[in-house]
Amino acid sequence: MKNKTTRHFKSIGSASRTPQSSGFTMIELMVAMAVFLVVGGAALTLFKQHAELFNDQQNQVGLNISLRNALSQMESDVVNAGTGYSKSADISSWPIGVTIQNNVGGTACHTAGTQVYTAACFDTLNIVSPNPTSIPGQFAAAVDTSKAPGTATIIPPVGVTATTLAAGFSNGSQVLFMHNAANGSSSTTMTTATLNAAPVVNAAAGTVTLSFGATLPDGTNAACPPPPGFCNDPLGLTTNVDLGLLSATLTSQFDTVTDWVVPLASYRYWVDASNPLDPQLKRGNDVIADQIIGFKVGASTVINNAAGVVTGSTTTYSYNASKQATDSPWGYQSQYDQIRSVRISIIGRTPPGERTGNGTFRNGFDNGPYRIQSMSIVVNPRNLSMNDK
Amino acid sequence: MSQCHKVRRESGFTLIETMVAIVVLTIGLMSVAALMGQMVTSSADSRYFSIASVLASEKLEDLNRFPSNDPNVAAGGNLAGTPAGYSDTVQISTGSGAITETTNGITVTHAPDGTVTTVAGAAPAPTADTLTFARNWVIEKDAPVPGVRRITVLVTLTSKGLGPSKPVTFQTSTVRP
Repeated sequence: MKNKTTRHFKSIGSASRTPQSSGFTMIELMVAMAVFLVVGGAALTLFKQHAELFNDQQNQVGLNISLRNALSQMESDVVNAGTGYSKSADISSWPIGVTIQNNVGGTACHTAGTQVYTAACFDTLNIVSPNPTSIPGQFAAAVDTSKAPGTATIIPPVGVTATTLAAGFSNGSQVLFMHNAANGSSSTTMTTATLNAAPVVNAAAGTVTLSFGATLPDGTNAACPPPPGFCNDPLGLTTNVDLGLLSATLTSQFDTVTDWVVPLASYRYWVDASNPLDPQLKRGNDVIADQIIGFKVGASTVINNAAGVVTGSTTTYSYNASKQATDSPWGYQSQYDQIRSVRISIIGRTPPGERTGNGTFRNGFDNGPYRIQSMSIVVNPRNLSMNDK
Repeated sequence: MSQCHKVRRESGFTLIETMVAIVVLTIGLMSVAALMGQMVTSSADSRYFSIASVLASEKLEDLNRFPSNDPNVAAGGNLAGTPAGYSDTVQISTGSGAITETTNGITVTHAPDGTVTTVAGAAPAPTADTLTFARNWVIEKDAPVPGVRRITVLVTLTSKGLGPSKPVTFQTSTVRP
């Protein structure tokens, strides 16, 4: 057997003129394979680590970009808050730019050790502006907004058709009713309501009929029921303010000729926590950022001297809008017109389902298996405070 | 014997050849590993730059809110040192069970349970994950043209974690009345 093999090799070898030099020995092959295994294994391990690291970095970069996008969107909205109001709407203690609903947080919001954040963790920021593309209407007849069901027949200003006027109103949009007293803007009174049907055009009469949720007789609105209930004042213009201060500016009675109904274009920034795996920051119904686990809005308010002249603004920001100035922590009794600047803080996380670091990573914030990042920005709603009421 | 010697010379790789191959492979793998390390560093640096740019635009926005006769926007300042009224520091920490942000000695702490506390006083001691940024701004009157003022903000990462770091700076300007 051995001889035969040798001969066989020899015969091949002599044929190819390189006797016994072809191929590897078993030892060589095994050494080569061992070396390949070691080196290849190292390469594979490196690649695996690299891929995980890359994914991890991508997630962090994505988080950073989404936070920046969300903040710049809010920045441009807050800066322009309140633009386009008529001069007569600019009355003291009426929120014409931003309104803030603060949640105090606590155990109702987040249980330590879990990764679940509920709606009680997050604030709500409303940007209130008249709709720049629509036209205000006047009343065809005196209106009592507290009379159920709420209806008002409105007429367009001179030179505008009823159809054009109606195009600015839609089912679900919030409108502002403004009553201008004859003796000047100091006694202007208002209320707000939400349309509960599409406007009906009467082309022959040149009128538009609006249907809305009736207000209360004093011009306030009932607190909003939980969704999907109908909410007459989702922006909290009348429900979240200190009524002792605001009642003088609220009414349910509106007249012809002097009074107006203004469609609002308003955006609400809020966190939709209905999916605990992905709380989303939304602008209205549009998703602005995913995986948001913190959204707080603070306000710095103006400081007046004894003569009522603005001398500056508070150095700290209040996260308790409805509290009194003397409370600790302090508040500003929901007097949104006193806001000088707004401080918005958001906290985001990388997707919890993704592997982070070496898989045993826990962040120092809530001990979750994801990376977190926070970003805060101070924004000044110019329209509210540059002229320092 | 001579034939046997010839065969041994020609078959397989020599130890030298194998070792050279391993060295070459090792160098290759080490450069990949170095690249990974560099990627982590540069990705972290770009995040620091991103935060620095947010802080710079925040300061510009903040200074924009003052009317032109306000002392807060009077001409002055220096991009070096810590000129009073024209510089502040921002310290951000995401560890220790909360996020703390200290600006000019006012510390805002965000806890996971949605509570926010504001404390005026000294900044908390830096931890391993603390980023400290220094912000300086210069306000020039009647520049670049009469009737306006130019505000330049420089943000510098002065420390990351407990140790010093490679400088991360971001500078931007705006012009306002």
